[in-house]
Amino acid sequence: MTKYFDVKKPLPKLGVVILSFLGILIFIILWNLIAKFGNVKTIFLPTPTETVYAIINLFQYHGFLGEILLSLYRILLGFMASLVLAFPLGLLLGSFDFFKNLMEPLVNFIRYIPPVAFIPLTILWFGIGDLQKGIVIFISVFPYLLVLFIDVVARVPQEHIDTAKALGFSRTRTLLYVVLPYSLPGYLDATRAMFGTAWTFIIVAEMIAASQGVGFLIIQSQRFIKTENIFAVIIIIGLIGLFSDLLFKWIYSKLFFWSDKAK
Amino acid sequence: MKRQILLEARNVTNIFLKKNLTVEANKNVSLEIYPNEIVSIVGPSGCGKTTLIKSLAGFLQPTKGSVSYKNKVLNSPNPEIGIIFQNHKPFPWLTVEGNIASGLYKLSKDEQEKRVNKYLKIIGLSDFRKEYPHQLSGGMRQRVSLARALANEPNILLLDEPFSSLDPQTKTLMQELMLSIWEETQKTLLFVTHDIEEAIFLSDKIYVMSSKPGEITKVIDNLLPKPRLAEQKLSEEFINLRKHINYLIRSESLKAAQINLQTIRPHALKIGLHLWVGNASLILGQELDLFKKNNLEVQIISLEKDKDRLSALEDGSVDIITTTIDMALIAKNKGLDIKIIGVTDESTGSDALLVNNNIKQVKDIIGKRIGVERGWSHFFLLHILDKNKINISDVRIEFMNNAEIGSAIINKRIDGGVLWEPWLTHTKKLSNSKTLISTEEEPVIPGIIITTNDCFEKKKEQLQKFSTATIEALEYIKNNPKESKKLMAIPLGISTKEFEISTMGVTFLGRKENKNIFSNEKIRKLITHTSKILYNAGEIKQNYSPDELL
Repeated sequence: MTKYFDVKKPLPKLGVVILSFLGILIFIILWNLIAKFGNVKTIFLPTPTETVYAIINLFQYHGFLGEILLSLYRILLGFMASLVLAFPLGLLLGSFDFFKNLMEPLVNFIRYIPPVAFIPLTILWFGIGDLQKGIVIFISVFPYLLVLFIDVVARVPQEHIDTAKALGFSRTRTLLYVVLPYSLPGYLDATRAMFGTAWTFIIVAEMIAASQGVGFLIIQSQRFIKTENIFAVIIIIGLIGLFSDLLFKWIYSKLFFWSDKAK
Repeated sequence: MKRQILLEARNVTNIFLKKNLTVEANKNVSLEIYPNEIVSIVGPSGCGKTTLIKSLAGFLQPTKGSVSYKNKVLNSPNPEIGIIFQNHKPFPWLTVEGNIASGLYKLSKDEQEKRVNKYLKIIGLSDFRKEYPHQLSGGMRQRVSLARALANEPNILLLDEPFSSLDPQTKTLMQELMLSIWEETQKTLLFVTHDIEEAIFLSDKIYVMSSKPGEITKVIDNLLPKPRLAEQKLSEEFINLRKHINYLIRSESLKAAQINLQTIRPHALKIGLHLWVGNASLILGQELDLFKKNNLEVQIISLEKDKDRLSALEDGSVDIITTTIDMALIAKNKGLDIKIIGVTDESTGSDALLVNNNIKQVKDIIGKRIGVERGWSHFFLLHILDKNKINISDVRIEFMNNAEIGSAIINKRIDGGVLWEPWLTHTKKLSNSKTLISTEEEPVIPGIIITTNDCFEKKKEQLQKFSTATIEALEYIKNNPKESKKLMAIPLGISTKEFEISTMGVTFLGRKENKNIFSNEKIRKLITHTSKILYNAGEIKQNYSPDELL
């Protein structure tokens, strides 16, 4: 038994799978025990079984899938805009001190303002439609994404850049054929991290002002004391997060098999 | 036909500002590299080698001095100058062939393919062309980045510690590979390394560099036969050369590593000397175990510059040093309480004032530019001026180092200079110049051994043994000239023949001269004389009598 408890020693694959499920199982059992015997009312804490029924019910009769897709669409709206802008800007600001010094104070200033503080303003300017949600996502994602991208680009080893110079590469060629390929894995990593953040902010934005979407569903459920629905939505959001993370990791291992992290 | 210099550094000095401190990485580095040559710059870790190589490749503009490639000043990286950086890695996102082709984008697809195949074959990775770097071993990866640089077909390739991260076996293989690549491509190669063995194995010429600020202290022509095989590393000649460079570099490594000499073998008597034939008797004492036989533990540290030896004596890093009377007086004048405890040799022709052929007599040097190095070379000129009653201000004295004086005479930048071997013979051969006056006629600069009065009191017994052993060594030279010359030549890195030529102008002193150094009339006279000349020239502020130094 002690052989499973060596410091930093990896476990066999089967053990990993069993433990992963075991952790979840223990959580569900505890939840069940507290819900059933813990002297809490069902309107505050539904049992796991009730939550599963709520999930099925939401998908069957309340167009849950549509709500999820709508929220996802809003995320992508703001996220894509952030990505399209941050991608070249990251390359530029990470490579040239000139642009970095020009832009960084401004970006950091915006970054330190909680994105939620902009929500009332966006409602005033853009209403409460998809565009406003996209803009909230953009405001909450873009500055962070840019800072992460700049960091990734700044970490391209000087040695690779000097080698390019020695081989006679022009500036543009160095950027496109050395800095860019080396930065792509880091870019994807940053994107993955920020995608999780985007989910957080779409829920917040939809809870504050919306007539549709996952966040709206949570607020609705609270209003009508459908606690099991709140649980259902939370669990589904968690699962979506888990799967998108796996998807990103899979893409990473396929595209960037050559990088150190891929191993 | 005179060969064209390919890459040249002229007095390159690199200074950085690091946290408000100025750090001098290189100082006055001059070197020239000819086509098809393999050159190494060897020095202790952290002596500014990487800074120098970056300057040579055009990545870094020197603070002072210049680098020129094919006689044109180099202001930016040039694809004709390839460079392999210290932690060189292939581009990880490209395959082996993609890496090799990465610098060839200007060529047609066919050309690219041909080049890639050629260099894949040279580095022996044809079977791995489609693999990515992460699938290869460390040595293979280094071969890929080597091929990437070679495929660009630069005229000269600079390599900064290229194999330092490899295990010794792979390293040897890579060195052999380098030599066979050289045979195949006839590229000019410049290695920068801290590995003496590597430098000897690979190169035709070795520049020895001091620790910060990195200065070239010695240039060695490596005549070991080529092609070189790994077995040669065990040959006698190889080991002799290694021994020599080891002597040169040891003190520098200690300096670079910030290790105080006092902490290494604290009980040993430490001798600071410059590697030159006149001092070889001390090295002979070591080689013949004469010190050991007298129950004395000694450690010899080569400190090439007078300044370094004196400061080592001052801070107690060494107990005794070799020097000349003029330097001893200047040190005394600066407040260092020194004492002369022995004489090693007398220059009888190996130092001389060399002048342009149109200068007929000593009086003619009035108004002329004369190069001298600070130290006895300067003193010798002062002595000549004094003897011929010429005012110091009537001659244009220019301070430079030995090698510079030689090249300045050859290039006619100066009209004459005080030089010593081997530059003396060398310069005479390459220029229209002649010896005007030498130490043969004017034997005024004997080699002496000094210590501090403090040390003299504390280590009386050890110094007594040291004197006995040194006299034994000097007597051995007198009695076994042939054998001793052979033994002394090795640590100096020269052949017995060269040693003989160098010692033609040197007379080793022996028992007689050392027996009673206090009452040695000749030394007493020379001290008085030297003191007078230095005092008149304003080099020292007071006159010293022999009793103050003996």
